Amino acid sequence: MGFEKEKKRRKAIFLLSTGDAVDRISQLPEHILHHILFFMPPKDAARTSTLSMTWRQAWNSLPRSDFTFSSRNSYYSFVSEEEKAKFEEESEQFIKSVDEALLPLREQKKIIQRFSLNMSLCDAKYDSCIDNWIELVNGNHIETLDLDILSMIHVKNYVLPQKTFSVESLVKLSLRGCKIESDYFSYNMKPICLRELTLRFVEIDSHTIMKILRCCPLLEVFVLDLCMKMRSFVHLVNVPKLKKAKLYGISWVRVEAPNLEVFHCERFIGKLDNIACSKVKKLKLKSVESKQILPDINYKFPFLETLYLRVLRSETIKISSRVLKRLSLLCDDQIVPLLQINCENLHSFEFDSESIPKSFSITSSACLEKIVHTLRPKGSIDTFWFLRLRRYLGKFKEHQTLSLHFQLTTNNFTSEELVPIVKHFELDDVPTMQDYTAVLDGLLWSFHPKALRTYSNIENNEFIKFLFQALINRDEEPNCCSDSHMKCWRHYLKAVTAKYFDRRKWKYVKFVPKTNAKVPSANDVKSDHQRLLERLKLYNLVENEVKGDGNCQFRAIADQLYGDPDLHTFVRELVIEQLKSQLELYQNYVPMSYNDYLEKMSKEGEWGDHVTLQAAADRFGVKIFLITSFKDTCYIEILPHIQKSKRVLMLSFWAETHYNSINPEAESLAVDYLALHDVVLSPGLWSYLQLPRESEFFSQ
Amino acid sequence: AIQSSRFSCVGFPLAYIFLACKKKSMALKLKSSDNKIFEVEELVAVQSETIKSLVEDGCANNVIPLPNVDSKTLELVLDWCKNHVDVKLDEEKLKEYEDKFIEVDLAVLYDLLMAANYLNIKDLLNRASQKVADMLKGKKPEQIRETFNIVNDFSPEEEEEIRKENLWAFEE
Repeated sequence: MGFEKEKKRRKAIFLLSTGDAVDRISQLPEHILHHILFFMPPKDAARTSTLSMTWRQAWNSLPRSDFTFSSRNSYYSFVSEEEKAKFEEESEQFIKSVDEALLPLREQKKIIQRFSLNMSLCDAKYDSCIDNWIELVNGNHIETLDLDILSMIHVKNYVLPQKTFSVESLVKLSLRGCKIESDYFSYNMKPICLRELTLRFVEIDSHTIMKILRCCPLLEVFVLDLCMKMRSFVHLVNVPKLKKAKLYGISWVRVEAPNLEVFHCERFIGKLDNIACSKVKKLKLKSVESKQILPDINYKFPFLETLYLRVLRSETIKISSRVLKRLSLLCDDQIVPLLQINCENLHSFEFDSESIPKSFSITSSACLEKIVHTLRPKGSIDTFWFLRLRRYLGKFKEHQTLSLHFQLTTNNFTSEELVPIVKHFELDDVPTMQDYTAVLDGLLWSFHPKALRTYSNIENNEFIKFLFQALINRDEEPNCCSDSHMKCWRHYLKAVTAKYFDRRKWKYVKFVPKTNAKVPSANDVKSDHQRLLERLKLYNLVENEVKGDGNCQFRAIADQLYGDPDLHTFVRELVIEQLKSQLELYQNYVPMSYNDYLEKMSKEGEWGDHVTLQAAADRFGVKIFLITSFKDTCYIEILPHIQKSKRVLMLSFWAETHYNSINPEAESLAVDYLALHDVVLSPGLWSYLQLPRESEFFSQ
Repeated sequence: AIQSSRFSCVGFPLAYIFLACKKKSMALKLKSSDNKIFEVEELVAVQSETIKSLVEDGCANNVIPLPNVDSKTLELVLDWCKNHVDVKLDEEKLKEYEDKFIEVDLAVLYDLLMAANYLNIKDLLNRASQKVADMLKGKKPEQIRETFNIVNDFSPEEEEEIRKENLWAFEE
């Protein structure tokens, strides 16, 4: 109804108007209107959109575009002349390509939503080119300007043209490594509409920053990162709309921001006297003296929900709040802190210190879901230490979700029995020592974690080697808990992940410790292979050997699909594509972050696992048969999510060692024979079969 | 076929015609929408890309009909073209001429825009667009609507909505 009415009204207006003078300008073809807009200043041009439907249409149909140019080449001062020349040539080409891409802007109006330039400046002669580009985009309704121009050591910083600060359409300005002159801003300058300003490594002084802030009354986000020399100050005043401020590398700050919600500041703060922003919800302060700050926090920030504090000196940390949801504390001090936390709505609590708190009390409701504790003990760790730790961890008894990160710096250890309360346990970089059994027993006896993660960034992987031995050779001590009423940690540990540095590469290992699982010795490996060969013979299948360079799963699939194992990179690409496109299918079976997993798997030479196998089946829409060397599972069938073809890919799987492509010896009955079986293994079940990849590790 | 017939009809040796063309550019006949015939030198007329392509295709030996341009406008356009033939003309004088030329009332300006667009004369189109842009510049929407007789077909709510879309342009 309303619509009909509206139509009539418009028609009436139209009829009325035709009786009077005729609006011929609106009848011009759209491209002429565009042409007219081109000759107008950006602001006036944008305003025409309210004139009438026709003009709005003309405005909205202006071409819009994003420009991104990036050239990350750079060289150090000590390289040879030849390399320098090569780099200069590349720079020249880069400049030319940008020039060409921007050429249409000289003849046509466009709305530039984003102009992003990322380059290393090797010669001051390019300054004028950049000036020209910026002038060109500034005349075209630019919304986001993102300049990342780092100068080489011998070149002065690029000076941003003053006009940039009078571009009315500019909403977001992000600078890295430029220079802003101090005389750009006068106190009676016309305000601009900037809403986001990020300055990183920009050559600028404190007074200029204040002038900029004065000119940007609409500013909502302000990031200042390592822009000034020492002893610089920042006054965040006259910023009525500022919501988010992050300040790094300054030495004095004054804040008066009534609407600030997120505030990060990395500098020593003795008192909160100079900080007035009562609406802050998220506060991150580094280098504070807790004695001075903590008593004021509730009063200064009544709406605080997230608090991150890095405390320099402190004996007592008392925090009580009704609204606080996330708390993160980092103590740099050697002194054992006294912790009192009284927050009834706390959701997550992170604590990082060198020592176990002397006294600790936490009062919080059931909504505390996440507790992460990082300990970096120094000095000797003895029975008393474990007793203290036990008492301390006992405070968290009601919270079943504690994650403990442990950075071990000592190698003195004795063991102690403790109750199981820790769910995730992370062990950082274990130093070389004589006996790892004590460490492992000591730590694991203390917490009984369900998951263990460890990493090592030194070439020496003694501990990780040991870990495999200890966790997988478990059937050598099957009666570990027979003489005790308490079960040892071996009954709780469900998953182990290790990250270590080997031959200049990071390697990930994950496995599920199994009571009966053991490390295959050289003999076991052989017999495994023997078993596989026997099975193949039984089904009249012959292996088509593919190279064992880490790509063997993909090689075998490529051989099955295309008859050419060398197409493995292509297969890998398709599998990764599949993993990316339907992550919901796979992400639960990946033990690390999904992105890390994707990145890892995209690398050539990375072993394919059960997830990639399932993804391959899904991607190609075919069944995959695996003849395995497992003792108790002869073969496994992997069904695609959606079957697209009746083809079946047949692979042999020499457990944790190698995949091969297999074919019927003669065109025999083998396929039918296999098809009679109806075993379906979901990826979930697969994980039970996950044995350590490290059979490879040990055999070397 | 047209090309060859032209030369055979005239009956002169080919080379001679070529020389003649070089020496004194050929005259073209243009017919406006109200059937007036304008005789102009080819050099003047080919500033219009539209006419140029007609000449190049050899369709210009008779009268060229221009049904979208009336005689009044065509006269103005041809005047513009005549003054832009000689590139050597000093720049200041040319600018002076252009400024004087474009001082016309709105109706003529529209005709010029349409003609420049149809005949595809780039510099004329630019100059006329610039003129309109100058008239739109720095005015409030109400003033523009009045000057150009543009009818506001938005409801107040719609207008507000559009303002919000390009907020930066409306903030003082």
